[in-house]
Amino acid sequence: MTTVSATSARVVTAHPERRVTFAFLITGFAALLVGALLGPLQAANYGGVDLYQYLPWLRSYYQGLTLHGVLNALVFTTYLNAAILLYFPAREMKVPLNLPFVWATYAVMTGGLVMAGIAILANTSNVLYTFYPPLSGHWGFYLGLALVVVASLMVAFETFRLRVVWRRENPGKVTPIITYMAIMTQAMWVLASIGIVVEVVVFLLPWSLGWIPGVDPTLARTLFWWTGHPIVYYWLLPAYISWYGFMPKQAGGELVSDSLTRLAFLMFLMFSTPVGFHHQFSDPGISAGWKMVHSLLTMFVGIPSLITAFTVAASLEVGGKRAGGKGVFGWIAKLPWRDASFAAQVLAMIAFIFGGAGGIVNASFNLDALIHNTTWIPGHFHLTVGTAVTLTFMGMSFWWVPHLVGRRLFSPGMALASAWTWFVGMMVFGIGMHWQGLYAVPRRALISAAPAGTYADAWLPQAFTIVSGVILLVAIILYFTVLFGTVFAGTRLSDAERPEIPFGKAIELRSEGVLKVLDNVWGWFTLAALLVAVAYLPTLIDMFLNQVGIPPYRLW
Amino acid sequence: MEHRQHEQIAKWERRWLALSGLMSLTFVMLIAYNLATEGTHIAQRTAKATPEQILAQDVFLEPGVRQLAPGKIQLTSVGQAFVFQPANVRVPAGAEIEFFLTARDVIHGYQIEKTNINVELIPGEISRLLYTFDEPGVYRITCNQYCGIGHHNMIGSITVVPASQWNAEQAGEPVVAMADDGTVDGAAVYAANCQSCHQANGMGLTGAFPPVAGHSAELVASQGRDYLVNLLLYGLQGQIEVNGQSYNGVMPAWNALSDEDLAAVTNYLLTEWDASALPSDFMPYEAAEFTAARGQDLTAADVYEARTP
Repeated sequence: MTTVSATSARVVTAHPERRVTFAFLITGFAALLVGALLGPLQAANYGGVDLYQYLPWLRSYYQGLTLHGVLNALVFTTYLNAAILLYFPAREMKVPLNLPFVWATYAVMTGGLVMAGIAILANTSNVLYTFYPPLSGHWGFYLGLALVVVASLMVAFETFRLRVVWRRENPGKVTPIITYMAIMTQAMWVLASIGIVVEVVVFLLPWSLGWIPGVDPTLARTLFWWTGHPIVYYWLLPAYISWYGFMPKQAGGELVSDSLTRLAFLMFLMFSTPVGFHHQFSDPGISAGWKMVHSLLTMFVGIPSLITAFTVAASLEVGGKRAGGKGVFGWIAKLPWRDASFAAQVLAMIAFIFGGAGGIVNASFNLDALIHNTTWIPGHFHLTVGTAVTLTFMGMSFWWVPHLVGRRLFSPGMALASAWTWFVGMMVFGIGMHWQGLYAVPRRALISAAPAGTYADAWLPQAFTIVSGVILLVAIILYFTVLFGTVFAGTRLSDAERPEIPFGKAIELRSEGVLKVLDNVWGWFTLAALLVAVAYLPTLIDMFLNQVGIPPYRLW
Repeated sequence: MEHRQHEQIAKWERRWLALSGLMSLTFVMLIAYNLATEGTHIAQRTAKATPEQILAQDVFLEPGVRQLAPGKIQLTSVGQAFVFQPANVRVPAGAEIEFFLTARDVIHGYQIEKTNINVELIPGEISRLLYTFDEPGVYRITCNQYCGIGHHNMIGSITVVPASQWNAEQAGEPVVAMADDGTVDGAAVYAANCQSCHQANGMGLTGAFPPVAGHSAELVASQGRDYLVNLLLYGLQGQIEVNGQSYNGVMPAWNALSDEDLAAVTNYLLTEWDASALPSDFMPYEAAEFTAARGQDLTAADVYEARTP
């Protein structure tokens, strides 16, 4: 981490929280760099070519895949969320962060990352990022991940504290919009994280240490998915904060509905968590009735994303029309497409349309049988978390990193090119993987080493996948050249030249009274917790009472 | 922004919300209707017990295909690292097939291409589902749940043949891996069951699975003849040292293989790579030795304990 401190020493004067924010951001992107560089190897595998055998420092495809999933999906997102959910509320409300506490949070998170990273690199924990028992990793893997989760909850605590301070100084006022979105995201995460905390602390950690002999696989999976589905909203909602909070201003428009924005986040708090069984439609140990309930609730959680599509598109339309765009579609051409930050995030939104449509298929109890655990699933989540979220964070970094480090964006043209190549690469990947899934090609399998001809019928989609890996490798090189170029070689900016946070203006369509009702965060949290209890407890209590412990297996 | 534009957005906003809600409800109703009318492929649990108890049940003693009545077939299969037991089965077209599926060690997947069959095989649980194949053909079965280093080799097949042909086949002898001289082919048993961990050249995988080549004859000499029998029937769990390297993978129990298969594969290991290290009076293993060793109260951990370092 010497590079971080060396750079950040030059960083800031007026806003000391910039330094810790930058530490979270750059560590997250460093994790993304390592994880993403393994991606093209995975794409080659799904094109029928095993490149892993040429990598001396990785023992197997499955070790590389564990690293890829953990770094990209769990580590990168958690670090970026910490940066977003602390920095923007603090700046919006003008409440200072508790810096010693936030640095301690950074230390805990990074300690966990190092511990889990060592466990994976030592080939002890090739359990993938879902780590289903009875496959058992090293205890350091579980402890490391637990520390990352603990740190994320420390971040949540700090976001809540900021609002408490603000309310003391602003009694009776409605929470500002960015902070409201951040608070709802954190409240959702607190409720969502209970599952994985119980799974790891009560079961997997003692089991990997040999303190308890067995773990019930279905119970562990159920606790995992209690967290495992809402965690995708924990990844997504910080991107939504940029879409709702910053993109209207970047497009020259305004957020068209403050209240609908709040309603969308409220719905995510309510419906993100009681939906986990839709990952377990193929599990025999959960009754079909409860699976149907979760399928229904999953359909509801699609609604706030549909609201988002409306509100964000309308907000951008306001900007395009102000710039002189005419007609139903004419405004689109008037949007600032040459702005890499803007273009990246609009492309992220477009990818999310396809990701969301595929998600409706996954959420459908009956259709899931066709695509469950096939390559369709990684095809889906590379459009959602891999593009909608990641490309949004990349797009944000194009103004945010210059803002934090006081240096001009290195090569805006290359930044724009990196966004487009990422988008195109992921769309091609999405086509290849969704399509292979329809041929029942299994996800996360070294199919390039499977018996010859096993998946010969899927050769055409496989060609899409391998091509996408090459495009994405180019995108990675372009993006990280821009990122590190900005940090280390960007022209210094004076304080007046630094990009400002694009806080927008919101249009009120509803009365103050409606906003007050929406603002009752802990009331809504209680209701959400009740809904989770109803959706989960009947099944979970039965599972707790009828456990069959299975010993740990290491099969690699 | 002017008031009129404002109102227009609010109007479209209400329409969009109504459309979103209506769309979600329509999807839910279609899903419920579809499952209620043709949802028998959805797996339901019929038992929860330890894997040992489940595998001792009648239905899993000899996993495979059984005819319960004309047009009614029972198919049982056990997933284990990294094979389905049995890997390849034949069923008649048009018959209702009742599947009973479970796993011996870790979680496996069971997906049959071109069908709606897609089930998790979970140790300690039996999944039951019903399905009828209308079209004859060979259907690939894939393990689609990551289960370890040989996951991608865990592939099976269901061959669907016309009912008349199937009935004719049943009248004859079941087909197993027979060599030309009528004995079981140990090389075929090895390729189907052992190779994904111990590799085609018998050299194993660093850190996880020890070599069998150059090590099997040594084991017979140092651990005694019964050791290999118990190792295959009951598995082995615990860290071992071979030629100065440590290995920490798990050897599953292979008691679902027939005694003839087990004897054949053991002899294959010993003669394929270690023939020169065998004592001159070595007698090949016989199926009867495996038959006699079954039914002991042994676990994979016991086999490890009994192993002298």
